Amino acid sequence: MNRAVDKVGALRLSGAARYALIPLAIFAVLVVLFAFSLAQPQQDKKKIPSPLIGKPAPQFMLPVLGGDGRMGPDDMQGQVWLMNVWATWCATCAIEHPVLNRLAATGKVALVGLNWKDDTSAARRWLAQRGDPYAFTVVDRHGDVAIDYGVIAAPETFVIDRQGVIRHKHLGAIDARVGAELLELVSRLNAETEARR
Amino acid sequence: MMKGIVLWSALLWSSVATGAIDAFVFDDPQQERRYHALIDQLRCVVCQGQAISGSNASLANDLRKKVHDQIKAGWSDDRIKQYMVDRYGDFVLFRPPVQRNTLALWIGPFVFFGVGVLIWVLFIRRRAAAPELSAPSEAERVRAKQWLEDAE
Repeated sequence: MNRAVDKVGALRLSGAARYALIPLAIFAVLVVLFAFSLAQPQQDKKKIPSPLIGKPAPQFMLPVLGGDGRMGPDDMQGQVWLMNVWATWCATCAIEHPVLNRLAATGKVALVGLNWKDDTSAARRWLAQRGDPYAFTVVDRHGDVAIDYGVIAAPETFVIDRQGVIRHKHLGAIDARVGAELLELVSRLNAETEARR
Repeated sequence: MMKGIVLWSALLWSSVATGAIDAFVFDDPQQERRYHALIDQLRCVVCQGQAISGSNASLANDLRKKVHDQIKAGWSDDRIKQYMVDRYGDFVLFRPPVQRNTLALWIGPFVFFGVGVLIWVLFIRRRAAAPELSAPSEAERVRAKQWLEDAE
């Protein structure tokens, strides 16, 4: 006849166990959330959506590196182009530089360099040593244009369409995979504007 | 000797001077107050966890200078903040504006609090509704005794 007592005991326990499960369930949910956040690559976490996507590229007229005169986005109008923010003090820029060279060598897209708060002669040496993938590079001595473009950290690359609208921004180094993606986007934008004509 | 003293005092001084200090000149103390209030509200987008007031990142320096120039040029606080948001997004503000995509951020804590209160109330009510244990009646006593004897 022990069973009756056991039954009463078991019933009480199940009531308490139900409440005990609530913190456990919350804990499980948190574990899943943290696991997702940890599994996310570091770079994605740093990504901040740029409010400039879909907006016209901010105007500027800056001195051309190693040349005379000034150039700006207007000089690129009518073509899809990449604006790459770089500096000689930026270690990651050195990593992506060979990829930029290869992108330029495809002849499928024009690159413009924005030399950000840099030493001009060091910048010229950099291009002489590593190759110059840019149609031209402009000198943003005090970083004013970089602020207009919401630049957070070099390197950053903007994709600007034929109408002069910023369509994409890539934060960080362009590796081979990102380079291919950018080329794909450029050809899509080219097709888009051709269809509209 | 003199050089040593100067060096040491410079070192000691540097430990006192934490955070970023800029020698900006303002027209009046009110402008300076606005400047300090603003740079505390703007996030350093490179260092993310810090305001531009407490960061020595190059971009934070540039943005502080920008705020200074804009205050001197007579810009309102709202215009300066909008200038930053237009370039860096809402993220640049430590206190995000109440709008559709930040609604969850603003009302989320209240929703969680409400759910907590609800669970608590249900818990209390259920406990109140549960029958209290009363002393066993004579019949129950006899039955229990019977069970114990049976078990032996």
